[in-house]
Formats: sequence, structure tokens, C-alpha cells
Amino acid sequence: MVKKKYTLTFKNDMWVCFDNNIKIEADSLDELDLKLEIYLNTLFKNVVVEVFMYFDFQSFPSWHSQYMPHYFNRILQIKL
Amino acid sequence: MSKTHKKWYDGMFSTEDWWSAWLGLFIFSLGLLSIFKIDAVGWMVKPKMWELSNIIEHFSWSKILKISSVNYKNWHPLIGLSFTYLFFLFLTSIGAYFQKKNIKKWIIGFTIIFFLTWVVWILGHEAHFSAINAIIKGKNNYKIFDLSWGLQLGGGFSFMLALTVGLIIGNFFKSFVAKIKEAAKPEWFIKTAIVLLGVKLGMMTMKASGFTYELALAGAAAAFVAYLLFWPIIYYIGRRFFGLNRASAAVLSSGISICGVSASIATAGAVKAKPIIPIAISTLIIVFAMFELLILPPVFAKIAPEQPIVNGAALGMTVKTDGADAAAGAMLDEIMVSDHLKKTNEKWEEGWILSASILTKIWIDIFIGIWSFVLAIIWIKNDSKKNNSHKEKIPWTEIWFRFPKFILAYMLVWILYLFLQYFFPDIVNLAKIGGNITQGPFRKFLFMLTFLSIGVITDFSKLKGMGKLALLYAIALFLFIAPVGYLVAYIFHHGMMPPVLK
Repeated sequence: MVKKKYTLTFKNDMWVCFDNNIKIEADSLDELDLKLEIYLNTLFKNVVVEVFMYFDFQSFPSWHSQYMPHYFNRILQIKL
Repeated sequence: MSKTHKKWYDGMFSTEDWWSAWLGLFIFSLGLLSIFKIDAVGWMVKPKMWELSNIIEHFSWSKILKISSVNYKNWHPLIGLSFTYLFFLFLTSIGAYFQKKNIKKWIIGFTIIFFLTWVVWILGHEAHFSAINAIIKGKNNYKIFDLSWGLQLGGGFSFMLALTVGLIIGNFFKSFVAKIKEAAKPEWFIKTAIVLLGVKLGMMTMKASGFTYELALAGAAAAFVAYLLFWPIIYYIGRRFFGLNRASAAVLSSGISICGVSASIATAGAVKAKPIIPIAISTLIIVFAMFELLILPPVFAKIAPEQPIVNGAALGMTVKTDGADAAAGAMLDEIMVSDHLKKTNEKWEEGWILSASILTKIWIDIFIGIWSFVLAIIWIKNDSKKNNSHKEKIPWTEIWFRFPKFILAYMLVWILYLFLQYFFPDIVNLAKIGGNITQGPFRKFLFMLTFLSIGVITDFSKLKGMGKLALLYAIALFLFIAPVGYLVAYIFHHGMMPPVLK
């Protein structure tokens, strides 16, 4: 199993997944996952990739942090 | 460089939640130094009751302000006030710095809010508003000030005045709000105050341990029922009658039925809603929390004057956001204690009604993480039917990241007091000397800051354009949550009464 880590954020009504090498945008998380799968297919073959997505809370207005400073993190396993 | 992971200790120095714990524990520790006969908190000033004609005749600062401890009796009240200002400014600025707030704006905003709060707090102690015609701690202020009339509102008047001033600023002086809003942090202030309330709970446990445990357990049971009863029904109404999509219905259900903004963000994260949904719903919750805070305490006090603990617990189940709930609990406490005193000449001990509202809310807060985790599993199971090549897992750490950390500090303070009681009974009375000041003037000042700040950040004009959601919220709150929440609170808390002061 290969492990990858990305930051997830929400900008201009789009989900954005990025690291220092790539940036993928999509209207929905399902679409984002599919685009990510296509990208990962260019890097790996016949493996399971475990993707950890860390949501960057900076995409919330700053006053929200006093109520709840965490949105979500997710782990996605993609069979390539 | 992108950040791609979050460790369990992330946020310890960068979130208001953790800083509430740190500030509360620091102030608590200073108070605890009284065990070693060190008075590190006695300099805190507190307002004194005063009467207008008396002040006009001969003004003196010592008529309106008082130093908390005799150990600092030589301090001029203004020196005490200056020290109080510098103490809170310094501590909160450290927190603001680590939270990456704009320090210049913080200092300006906090300074304005601090002094506005004190002006309001002092005005709120004018005898015609606050003196009650009854003997309290051996004296009758109504008679001492020789009043010909008085509203007899007790300490609750200061809270109402702070809220009113905050709301006027928040809704009519918006350019001024921009200058101070960096420091208008009601959740930070109230969570710090709740940590200090752990001292009060510790003292209450020493006095009536059985009742305190019963109160805590009843709060847990009531909170549990609220989750299982409120959430599914609001979700159904939202889906069936208002045509909301699954994510919006779930987020709104948590916001209305569980714990306001924090629950709506946690739920939105769990169901992976677009952030715009919890952001919009949060605005709605904050405005409605103000209606709850303004309406429910006097209504409950009027409807059921002989059910103080039920009323407190019902607030905990009905009023959303910790800040509004604690503020409503404090207001109800003041109103009911004053009313009961006026009617019967019998004084209930302060703090029990407030504690009932906070204990219920704290149990609700504790379960947010677990509830969101369960919702996340349900949502993923549903979504996984659509896509077979992807498998999503939820990190267990999600429960921890959504857990409100100030509750750990609140519990720690409570447990430390119990520890002292059971293992070092000889020094408990020494601990109480500092504890009475930290849970007294310190905590009440933080409550006052909360009342003013919560008014400042509430902008009623934000309700515009929220027609359908606002209607659902209003219907759910006043026709379902409030009456059913009251019934649940009654089932678990009826018969409980605060101790009477001799």
C-alpha cells in the first residue's frame, strides 16, 4: 500500500486538493476523488493508495474557530 | 508548503478552545496559592452597590468599586482596576498572539470592550435597579440606601444592561464594531468562565455531594434523550416539509437540536457538506441564540417559579451555543434567586441554577464528537454504494479534534477540589479563600465580557434572505425544542431545589 497526504480546502465554491506538486479542483468530493484517481494512475499501477486529506480550516471565516476549530480529515483508499 | 497532517496536540496553542482551558487553569492556579497563604488574586476589583444621589453629593471611587481581598485593602480601587485591566490584557494578548490574531487590533478592541464592560457593570449596581428589599448576608441594601422606589432586579440587571449595550453597538454602530470585533470573543470568555465555574462546582460538591452528582447524571440523561429525540425529528421535518437536501437537513438538525454552531460545523464536517452550509446556518444560530437568551430566562422564571433546577436544565437543552446558554443560565439564576428572595425572604444559594444549565450543555458538548462520528459512518456507508473503487475511512482522531477541550479543564478543576476534600480536608478552607475570588469576581467579570461581546457580534440584519431556514428554525425551536426540552428537563430534574442560605 502506498500512502499519500494532501491538503483539502474549499475555495470559490470548489473543493481543492493539493500538495507541493499538484492541485486538483472539483465541484464535488466524488468528482475530486475521481480526478485524484486519474492523477494517481499516472504515478502508480496495481496498488492500493491510501490518501490522507487534511482539511485546512483557514477556508472558514476566522470567527468560526471559537465555536469549532476543526472541519474534517478523511482517509481514502483507492484501488489502482 | 502545504500542511498534510494533524497531530493530536495540534491547536493546543492556536485555538480559543484550548486557550480557554489554559487561561481558566492559570487563574484557578493563582487562586489555589491561598493554600500556601499566598493571595495572588485578591487585587481583583468588583463593583459595589451605590445610589445616585449619594454619589452626586460626594463622589468617591471606593463607593462604586471594591478590592476583593482584605490583603489588598491599602490599594486604591483605581489601582486595582488598572491592575485588573493589565492582567486580563496581558493574558488574553498572549493567547491572541498564539492564535495569530492581529495584536494591535486585539489591544484596541479588548481595551474598549474591557472599559465598556466595567462602565456597564458599575451602572448595573445602582441601588434603584439592583437592590432587593430583603436581608442578604445580614444587611438590607434597599433600606440602607433609604430607597423610595426600586426595580429590585438584583445582579441580573448588569447582565441585561451589558447585553442591551452590546446589541445596540452590534446593530447600530457597525463601523465601531469593525474596530472592536477582533476582541469580541464571547465563546473564549465564557469557556474560560466555565472552567472557573469548576471551582464553584467543587465547592457545591463539598456542601451537597449527593445532589451535585445527581445533577450531573440527570444532565447526562437529559442530553442523551435530546440527541435521540430532537435530531431525528428535526431532520425529518427539514426533509419532508421544507425540502432540504440531506446535508443541509443534517447540519440544521444538529444546529437546532444539539449545540448550535459547534454542532453544525462538526456535523457538516462529518457529512462533508460544502462549508457554505454550516457558515450560513451558524449565522442563523447566533441570531436565534440571542432571541433564546432574551426570551427564555424571564419566561421560565415566570411560568415555573418553583422549579429552578428544571428551568436551568431546560435552558441547557434549548439555548444554542455555550456562550448564550451560560449567559441565559446566569441571567435565570439572578432572576430566580432575586424573585424567590423578594417573595419569601428565603435566599437560594447562587450558582445552582446556572450549574444545571451548564452541566446539561456540557454533556451535550461531550457527545458532539461521537455523534458526528456516527453520522460520518452512516454517510460514508450510503455513499459507498455509489462507488466501488473508493473506500473511505474515518480517522478515530476525528472524535478528539471535535471534543471541546475547555471541558477537560472544567472537569480537572472540579476533580482537584474533590481530591483536596477527600485527601487534604485540613487545607480545603484555605483553598476556598482564593477559590471564592476566582469563581466570584473573576468569573462574573468574564460573564460580563461575554454578555457585551455576544451582543456586539449579533447582527439581526443577517436574517435577511434566510426565509425558509429561519422559518424552520423558529418553528422547530419554539414549537418543539423548547416545550419538549422543558418536559425532558422536568422528567430528569423535578424535585431538585438549590440549598437555602441560612
